[in-house]
Amino acid sequence: MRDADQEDRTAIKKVLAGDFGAFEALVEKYQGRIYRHLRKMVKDNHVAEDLLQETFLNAYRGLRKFEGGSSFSTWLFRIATNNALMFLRKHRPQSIEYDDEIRSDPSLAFMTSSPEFADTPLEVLLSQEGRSKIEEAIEALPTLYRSVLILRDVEGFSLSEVADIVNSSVPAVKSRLHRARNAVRETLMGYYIEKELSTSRGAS
Amino acid sequence: MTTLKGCKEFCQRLSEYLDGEIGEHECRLIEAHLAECPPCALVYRSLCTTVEVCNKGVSCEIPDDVRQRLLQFLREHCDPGYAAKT
Ligand SMILES: [Zn+2]
Repeated sequence: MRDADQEDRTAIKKVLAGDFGAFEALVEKYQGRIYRHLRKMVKDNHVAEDLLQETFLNAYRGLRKFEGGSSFSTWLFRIATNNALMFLRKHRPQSIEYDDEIRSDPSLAFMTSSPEFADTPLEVLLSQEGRSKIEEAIEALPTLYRSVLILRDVEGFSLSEVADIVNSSVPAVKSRLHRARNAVRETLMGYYIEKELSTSRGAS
Repeated sequence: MTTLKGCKEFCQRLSEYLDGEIGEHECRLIEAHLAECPPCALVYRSLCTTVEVCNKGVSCEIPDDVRQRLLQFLREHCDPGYAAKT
């Protein structure tokens, strides 16, 4: 068991014994990541904030039902993901039902790459402009692909944890992840090719 | 490009390869191919970069007002004294 899990379990015992401060410490620990996840899921800061509050309230009220079969973080992300999906199903059903396919540019159907993106130094990729491109590329993904990519590549959950959180199978997660990563890769690659072109045009 | 079919198939497995989800035998085939096929090696490199920037490039900062409203909301809605209940 990971140290963080053990730490969370100790905190949960305290909460169940009536120590609300221990719950506030858990909120403090996870609020940033949960908020990020929700913002990426629903792409709306106000909705994400409502869901953030709901998620931690659900967690508090359901804490006795937390069995410890999974880690607390997995359990918490499952509540958050379910809340986001419930919201989307109710208010934007088309985003889940009809938009669940990655529409790939046919010219990229056979995977290609160009050196512009892969050779761009990390400090440029992670500059303010670079970061906004990453966020855009992730947000352009269909919901179910987006959720898997965020949980695996942004949050760092294992494949089986992701499957657990989104209530799916590991093979389904792998296949969505493969397509999501390549869609993001293609978007970023396109952006850096353009950037390179406009720089060299400007230079000549 | 006589290896086109092969390249395509290798590329389809790179995401799993990156996650360490590929058996030892197939792993060795992929590594051998990456070593001798620059286009596929570039695809793999850009895929690794993609995963790395997703991991490092999305901020998890939470604005102070959001943080404060969350705490206030929870203090209002969570029954204190959990243990006393049920
Ligand atoms: Zn190849």
